[in-house]
Amino acid sequence: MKALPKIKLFYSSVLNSYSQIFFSENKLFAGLLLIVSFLDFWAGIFGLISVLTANITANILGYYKLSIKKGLYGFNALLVGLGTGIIFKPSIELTVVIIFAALLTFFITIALEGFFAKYALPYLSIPFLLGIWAVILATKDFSALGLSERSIYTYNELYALGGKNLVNLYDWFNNIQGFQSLKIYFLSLGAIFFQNNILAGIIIALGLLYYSRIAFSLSVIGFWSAYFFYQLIGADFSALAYTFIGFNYILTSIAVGGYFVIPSGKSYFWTLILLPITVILTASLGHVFTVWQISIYSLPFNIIVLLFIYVLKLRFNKHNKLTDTFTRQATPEQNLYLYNTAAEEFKNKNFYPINLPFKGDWTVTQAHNGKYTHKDKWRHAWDFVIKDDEGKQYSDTGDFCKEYFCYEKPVYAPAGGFVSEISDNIPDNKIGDINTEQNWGNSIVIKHGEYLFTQISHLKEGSIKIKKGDYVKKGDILAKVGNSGHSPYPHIHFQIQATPYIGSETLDYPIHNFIVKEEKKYELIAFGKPKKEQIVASVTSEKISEHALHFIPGKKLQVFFNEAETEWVIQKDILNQTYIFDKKNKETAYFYENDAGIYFTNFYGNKKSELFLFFNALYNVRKSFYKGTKTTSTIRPDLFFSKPIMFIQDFIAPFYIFLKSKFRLEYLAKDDDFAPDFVKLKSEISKVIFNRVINKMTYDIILYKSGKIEIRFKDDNILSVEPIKKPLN
Amino acid sequence: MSEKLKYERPIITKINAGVTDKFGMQSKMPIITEIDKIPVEKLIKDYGSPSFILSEKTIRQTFNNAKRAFTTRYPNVQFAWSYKTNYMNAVCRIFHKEGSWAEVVSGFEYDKALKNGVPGNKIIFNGPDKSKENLIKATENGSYIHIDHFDELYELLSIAETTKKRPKVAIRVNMDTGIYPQWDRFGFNYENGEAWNALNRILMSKKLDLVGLHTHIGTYMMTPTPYSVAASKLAELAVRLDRKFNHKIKYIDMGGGFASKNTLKGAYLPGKDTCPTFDQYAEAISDALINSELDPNEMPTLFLETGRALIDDAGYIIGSVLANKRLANGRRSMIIDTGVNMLFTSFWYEHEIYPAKEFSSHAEDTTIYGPLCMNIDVIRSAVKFPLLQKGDHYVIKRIGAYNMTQWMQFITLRPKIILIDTDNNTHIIRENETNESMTALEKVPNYLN
Repeated sequence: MKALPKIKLFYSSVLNSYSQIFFSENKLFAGLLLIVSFLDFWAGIFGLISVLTANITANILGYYKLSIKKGLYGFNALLVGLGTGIIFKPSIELTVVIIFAALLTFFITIALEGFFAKYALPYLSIPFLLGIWAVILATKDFSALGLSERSIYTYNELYALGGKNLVNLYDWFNNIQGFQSLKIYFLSLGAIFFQNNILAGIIIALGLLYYSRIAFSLSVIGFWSAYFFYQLIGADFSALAYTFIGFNYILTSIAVGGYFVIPSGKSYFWTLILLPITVILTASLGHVFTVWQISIYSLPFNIIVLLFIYVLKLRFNKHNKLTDTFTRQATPEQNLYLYNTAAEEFKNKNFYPINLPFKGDWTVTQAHNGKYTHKDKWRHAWDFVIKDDEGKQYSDTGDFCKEYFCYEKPVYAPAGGFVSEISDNIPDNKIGDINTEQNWGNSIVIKHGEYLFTQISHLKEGSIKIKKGDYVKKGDILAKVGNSGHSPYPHIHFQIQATPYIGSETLDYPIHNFIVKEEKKYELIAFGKPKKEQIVASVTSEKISEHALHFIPGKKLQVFFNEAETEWVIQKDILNQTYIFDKKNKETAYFYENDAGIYFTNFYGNKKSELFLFFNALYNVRKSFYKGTKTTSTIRPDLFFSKPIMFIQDFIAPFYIFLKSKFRLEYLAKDDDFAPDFVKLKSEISKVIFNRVINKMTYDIILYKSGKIEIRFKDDNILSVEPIKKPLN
Repeated sequence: MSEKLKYERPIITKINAGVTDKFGMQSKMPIITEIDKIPVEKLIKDYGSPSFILSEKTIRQTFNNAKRAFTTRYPNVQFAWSYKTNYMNAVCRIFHKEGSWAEVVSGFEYDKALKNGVPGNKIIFNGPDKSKENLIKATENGSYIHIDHFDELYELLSIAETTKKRPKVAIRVNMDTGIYPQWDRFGFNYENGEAWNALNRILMSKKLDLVGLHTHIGTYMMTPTPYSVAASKLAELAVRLDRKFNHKIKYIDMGGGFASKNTLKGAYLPGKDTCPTFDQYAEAISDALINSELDPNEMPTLFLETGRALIDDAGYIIGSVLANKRLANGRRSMIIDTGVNMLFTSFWYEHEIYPAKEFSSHAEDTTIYGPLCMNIDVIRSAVKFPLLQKGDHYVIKRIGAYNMTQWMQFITLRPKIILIDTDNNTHIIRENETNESMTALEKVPNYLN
């Protein structure tokens, strides 16, 4: 019994080592690539030997199983095996050399993984480069190895493979005029597996199309934009047909356009910018490497991709459309759908949760890019005051600070952190007066993380209850609202900044978990920026929802669905991503949980399962309860639409998404406002094509005090999920 | 043609030569000519003299001020309208619309709250007098019962055997907060361990749901400090319950007792200058709870049952002068049509009374009497008052609390109560009494017919 997972690991790790060259873990694609590698039988054999050597060594030495399974340790060795195997005649001596070369490549892989991990960069095929250069240069002294003549006599091989018909087909294809560039495209694709024939290229292209439409279209775009650049600068493109380096453009395009960056118009644009650079680099490196008489192989691809990903990572403001992927999904499409359509909360996952620094309802009198003082470097700040129902900030005449509703109100820590700066000796101004000498008045700056500080200003003299260096928890009382500094009337100035000084430049950063109140209508915001004149308040959570929707790893859930019974367990992976796992049916629903709520991010498995139903019904639920509020979000369409229609969508997905699945949740009722036993919610998923709703599904959800979750849908089907309590020992 | 000057009778005033005293020169008395933009003249013409006037705008404003004072300082706050302060249905409903629960102290008030549309689970049932029937009804309705004494606790324990629902209870705690007099007649004492004893019995019995702790330290508290003492003591009880029974209470009810801006009899300075603001009370209570050992992630809801401070300012009495009279000692007196029968609070307060139209700056030390044929009917024993004539109108300010519940039908009939809504429309919310309505409940034995 124990052998089974080992066989599975073995089988997956071998296949994935093939597909991983295209950043894929698709089994069918891997199978095609495996076949392609065997178009040259001996190269195929040596490739496979290399993969096995690397993967078995990785397993024996005890590396992370998932990485082995994903083929991350195998693909570089595979390339070295293929590249070496195709040059030399098969022999025992060659086998020995290749095994050692695979070992060397594997060690380099591990070393580079460790090295690049510090920069959160991939090692791509650099281990292959170092490995194959080492072998090629060394073999000049290995007289026992004889050069192979196989790939020179293409017809012989084709005949051996497919008889006369294949040779004819090949001839016919070669003789078609005007498809020169297309032929080179296929040759370049085949060259990735060291196959210098068009058939290999065609199989790989089909496999690529099957695996990902975006990757396929990127391969086309990458290749032809390089082609046009060659035309432009007058270089000889046909040289690519026999130099094995045309694939650099294809791989660069796939990596930059869709794999390491979320596919989008912008990523496509940058791909187009990067390809001419790759062409230049290819040409210049080619000259350098002729000195040692070795090929540059995928060196330009490696340099350009690593350079560009690193450049992207060092950006200060990362929140525009060009987003580098942190955890990568199986295909560029999934990267895109997950990013584009997952809940706002998931998109904002990397923000540190900073709450409003007060309790109760406050009005924004100046927001970002304010009319009075929030300008230029200090434009990302807010001013808050308290107003009454008539919009007045004060009682009586408003001539004295005391009459202002917000004056002397406590200010709370917006998030946990160390107090990095304080000033507390500036007296309050008289109403209407301002202190231009000490602009910021009494202020507190708190450090929440590296390059992340908040500043609260215009506090009351002597009211600050903390000291520099203190650690404050979220919600601790810090001081009282005053009227010091550039403050004609009492208010709170709040800003987020990257440096620890009072009056630092502001940072465009959102605030976490607040509600905007309009005429008894509430809008829940998970991460957002309050706007001018909005009435905002921090969200108070609902204990029942908080309890029922708290899924910590290790928690077990008993699931009943129309008599049937299963068990779910909450687990987390090495990236600290949590998921609900159905042990029996092997379904996985990834989710993300924070103070504000729970958000599902991804689902793998049977779409008719209980877990998928649960995923749908509770896709995005807040842990607060404001009766009548509604929240909406979108779910990635590929979970809901059929494959043929998705096939079309995939091609244009980076530019326009016409298939949508929308999730809507309404917070219906509680049985008792103060001490409720349950909370009722209603969710709805609709499938939309070009803004037309074609299908709707509603779920009535009840969350109980005990932690039980009940979902009713379609004619009284009931799914009930209860936490399993561990008996006390 | 200039307007004819109004006649004012001549008075003789002693000239005070030399420097002014510490109160400065005599100043002219302010006047109130309109309430929420409606002229007093018109109100009297439409609804008669005297009349009670309530301003909905003031009620809502005051409530929101109070709410704001607490919600900006403490995470979860719930007000409960103290019915006994003013249980006019219209008034109660305004508070309920603003989100207040009902706080009742008798079966009568309890039913009144239900009729006002308050769901059972939003009623707090206080007071020493709750009958067995009341307790059963409150339990079945899911109301919050604040136990006042051991006999009530025993009764509830026996009731809990029979009711479908478990009674949701809190205990009222009395304690030394450094004020005099200490209100020890309600609830269980903190210092002598009675409260802890009661809590232990409740939790040991396992028959009652202990949801809260309640105190009400006194009335017309002129300083906020005792509230922070009381809040700390309740918080300490809550923490002890958590430690011993692993039981978290849902709320801490600080009761009421906040002073309004009226001036108490015998006070040296006017109430509006000396009484604490909502902010001061809120700060005392919130700070004490936040600084206690209560788990900051599960702070109990703060309940407030303040009545007087929320409604006093919204109430006015308008009426007319009946007569002016010179007393035997030469002192001037004025008889108005508001008596202590309808202005019960004049036993406690030096009520602010103002003329309803412009007068000259001359004023005379005056005793203001009510219309009753009883010696105790004094509204103000000494006030510098302008020279009003018979038939002139006056306004008495800040009478919203307790008068419309503690008034009595004595000697004469009680007048109308008018509500001015937020759009300044007037509504009669209680008709004036008539002989018929007054005698409707009376029965005359046959032999007297």
